[in-house]
Amino acid sequence: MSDIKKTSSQNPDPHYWQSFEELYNSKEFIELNQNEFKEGVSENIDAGGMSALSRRKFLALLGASAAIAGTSCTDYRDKGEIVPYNKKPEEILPGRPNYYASTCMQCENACGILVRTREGRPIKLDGNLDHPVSKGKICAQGQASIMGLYDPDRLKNPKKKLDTRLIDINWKTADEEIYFELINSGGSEIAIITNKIVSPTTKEVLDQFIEIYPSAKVYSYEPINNEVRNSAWEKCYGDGEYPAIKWNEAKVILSLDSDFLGSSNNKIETARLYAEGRDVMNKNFSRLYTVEGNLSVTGMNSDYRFRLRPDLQMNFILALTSELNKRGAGISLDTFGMDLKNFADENALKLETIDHLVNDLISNKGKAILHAGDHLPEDVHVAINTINHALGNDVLYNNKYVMNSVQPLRTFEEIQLLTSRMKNGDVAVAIHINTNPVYDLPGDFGYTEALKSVGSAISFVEVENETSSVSNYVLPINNQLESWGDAKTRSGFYSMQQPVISPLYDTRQTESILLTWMDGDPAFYNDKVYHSFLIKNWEQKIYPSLNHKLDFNRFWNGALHDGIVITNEKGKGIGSFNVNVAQNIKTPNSVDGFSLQLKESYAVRDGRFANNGWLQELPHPVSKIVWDNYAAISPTSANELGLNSNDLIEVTNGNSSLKIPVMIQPGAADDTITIELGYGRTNGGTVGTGIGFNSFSLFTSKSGLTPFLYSGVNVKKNGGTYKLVTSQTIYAFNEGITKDLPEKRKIIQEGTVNQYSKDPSFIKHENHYSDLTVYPPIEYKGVKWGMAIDMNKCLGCGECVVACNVENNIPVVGKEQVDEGRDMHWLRVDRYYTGAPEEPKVSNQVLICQHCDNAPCENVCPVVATTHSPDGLNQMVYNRCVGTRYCSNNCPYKVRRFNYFNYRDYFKDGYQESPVFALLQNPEVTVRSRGVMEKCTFCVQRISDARAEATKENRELKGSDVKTACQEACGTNAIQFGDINNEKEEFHKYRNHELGYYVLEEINIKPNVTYIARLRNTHSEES
Amino acid sequence: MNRKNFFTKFSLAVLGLTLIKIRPVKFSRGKSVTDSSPVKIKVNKLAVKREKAGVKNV
Repeated sequence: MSDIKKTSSQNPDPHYWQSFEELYNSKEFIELNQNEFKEGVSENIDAGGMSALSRRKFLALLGASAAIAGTSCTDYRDKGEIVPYNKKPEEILPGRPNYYASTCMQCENACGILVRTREGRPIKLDGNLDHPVSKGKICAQGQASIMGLYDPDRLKNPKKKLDTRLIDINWKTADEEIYFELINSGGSEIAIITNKIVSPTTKEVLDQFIEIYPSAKVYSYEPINNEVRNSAWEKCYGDGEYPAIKWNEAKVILSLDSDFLGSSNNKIETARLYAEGRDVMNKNFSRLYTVEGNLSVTGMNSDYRFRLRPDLQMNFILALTSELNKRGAGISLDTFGMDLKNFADENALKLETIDHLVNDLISNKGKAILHAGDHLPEDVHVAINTINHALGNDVLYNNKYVMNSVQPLRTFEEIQLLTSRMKNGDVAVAIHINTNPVYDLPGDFGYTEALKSVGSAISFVEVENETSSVSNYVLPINNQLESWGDAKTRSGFYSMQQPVISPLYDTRQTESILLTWMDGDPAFYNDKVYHSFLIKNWEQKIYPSLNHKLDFNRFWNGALHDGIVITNEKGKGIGSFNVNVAQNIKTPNSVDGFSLQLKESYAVRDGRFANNGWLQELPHPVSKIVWDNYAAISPTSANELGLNSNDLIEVTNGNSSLKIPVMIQPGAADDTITIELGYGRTNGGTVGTGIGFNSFSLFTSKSGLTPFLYSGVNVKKNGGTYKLVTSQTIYAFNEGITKDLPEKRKIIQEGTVNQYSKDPSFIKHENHYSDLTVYPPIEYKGVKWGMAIDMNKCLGCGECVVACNVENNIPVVGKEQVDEGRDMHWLRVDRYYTGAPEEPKVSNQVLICQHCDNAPCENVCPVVATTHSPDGLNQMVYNRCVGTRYCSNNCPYKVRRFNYFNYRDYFKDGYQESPVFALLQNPEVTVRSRGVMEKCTFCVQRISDARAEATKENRELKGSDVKTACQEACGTNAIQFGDINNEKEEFHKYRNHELGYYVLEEINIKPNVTYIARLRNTHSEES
Repeated sequence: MNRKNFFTKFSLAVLGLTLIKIRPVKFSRGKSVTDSSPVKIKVNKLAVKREKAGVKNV
């Protein structure tokens, strides 16, 4: 070492050095060594300028902040205690559901329902299989109506108007004050405004009310009704109402703006019967032609479709008649010189298809039916009835269960007269029973103004509405599930209604309130008053006519048990046709401007379901738009006006106008605007208020062909836009990258009836894929669950979606979240267009979790939160899920749903977290919280239940023991579910049907949902 | 810090946190829908129950 030092005494020291400054001991290096810190770090330290907060204090503050934050942010909500029954109610077995038969009274159809209750509270409504008309099915509104019972917006006690506010009062005060008004009405009218009355006992109450108050009059009305059709029927056949139709026996159906598969009027029976005529199992296919102004559910399912503005329907019918008569049909109808070929040329109707239509009608006499929409003028219905009669199609009218009206509806003219009398001060008391005339009557009636001249306006409602907000008294009534009743909609049977739960709040049944006012003493009321009246009415008036072998008490309990009473009543049959009726048909007018049609909403109907989040969020079956209505317009008309979707337009009809966003609807007729009713409510509850645009404002009594159809309407671009949210991205179809995509990827596979009859396996020939896989084969012993969906029967209506929402506690997320693609429906109905935008063909497909055998989602979960069960289900373990969303990323069907928020808390500031809303939830299904993935489970709770039952009964579980919620709800029985391994089951035929295919089969993930290809019943192999 | 001082301060802290949770936090949160009193369910004893599918009585 010293040698090295000596050697380098003149030279730089040969120790380890890092820089030349160090090696040569430069001045800078020595200074750096002396100053430990860089310049500026340790100098100029101003102790006075530093914070007085010491490290200790800082840590103390940090700890305190954490403690406060933890205290504030914790929200331990006491959910109450689970206490076993001390005295268990006899009816309840904890953990086991009870079923009660009843009747859905949400509309005039009065379908039979079976109410499922758990621990005393109803949780699900399904159809009653014993009901001769609905046969175990109910509509989407019926399914969703369970939400109405637990609606936090329900009124809890009576209210009275003081100045501009509504103050709480008790029933005694309400009864006394209103009774005083009634007995002091003198000769002035007491108007009772109701919906269509279907209950004979309610009619009896009203009749007795009128006996006690002779100036009382009942005004039954429905804003959307079939009175025009019935009026035409009466002119043609003498009396009665338009009958039900045997759609299953019709070989050819011509629908003229009649959305018989989508609209509410008898839709349940119609859809079921129509589907029976589209049965791949029996190779039984009807042919459906539609002529319509806007694409509807019926139009989507048609084999041939014509676009025609609805105010030209009469012209079309006359032109068709002239052609039919040339072929010897002998229809006595003045066609005013109309010619079908000329008409087709003028209105761009394909002649070849028109020819097919005429040929089909002629060759299927007695097996065809022409059906016109409710909103078309009376002359159209008279003409249609005339044609049906001449072609011998009246054999398809159902004589067995004839339509029955307990109380006829009032016409709009009669309601208008009532309004005039109100304005003149001739009406002392107006009682609105669950109606909303301020919202849904034509604006030119001036009903709101007229109500101010009424001495006392009373509203019976469950939830406040526009009419109750201008009423003097608002009285809360029982929900349908808290009410007694009966219904008679057709000859041959009665439908019974019983309450499955006692009233949740201080509400009363409508009839009980009226009975109390008839007595005069508020103390008369008790919660059994209407029940006693109902029993007495049945015992004295209805039961004797039945000639029943059981004594009344046993009969009564049996009637409540079954929900239905079948009678020996025979329908009186269809009368004879008045051959001269068609002479009164007027010459059709020419048309100009735009045609406007106002239609009932598929979701909220006439607005009565506006406060139901499930229905608001249900995608429109055609446009897939949620949470809004819009003006549907054709691509050509939009182009002429320079419009894009979401642009605001102003629609002017006479003195009324409405600004509304436009949606370019493929398949809509040119110069036609179609707007759905039921939106734009100003007092529709927390959910329903301020949604959409009030198209009732365009409803006038003066200027239309009918109140729902107008000609010569002015449409202009208003400037500005409004975002409409669709649950399906509107792809530019048949352009660029998406051209023929569903066809190329074989997502949609279709054919024609001709193709099928020539080669039943044509679908299988086109699907040959390798089944090479790296996974070892798994043998499923015992039951293996699978599903088959018949696309011939699927209408795309969405009832399955609502049923799944109710069964599986799906939260409502709101418009903004749907816009982000975060809707939570486990089930979706994809709608595809093919062909030109003006004349598209439409295909629907229900997509759910396919429960793939080689599920791509299962491999990628880092925490094994999604697994595969021994019976073939793809399972989801919510409490393992950490929310990576890798599974959703990997799912090719995109059927997984992620809880980006706790939507119960998020939507409308915790509206769905209300204690009463929580009662709605199905206790058999986990309520998912934020950060967790969810998807269709094939109703595993129902599978578990069935397995437990089978074990208890010491037998094997069968596939037919389980019906999923969607299967149960589907009105056409398009969904089949069962055991793939059991060859003896009915399901096996669907699973292995020659038309069956799997979506994205080529990627070999082995999905377990079979789709049965749709067949269009066209004349030749047209694509 | 001596023992007495420690426990005094600790107790004051717990009391303070509890009071904060009771008053200011609830006040600032506003009326929650969950604060409404729960609804009582009462079975209607006059209703007649049945099996989901099966024998009819009438």
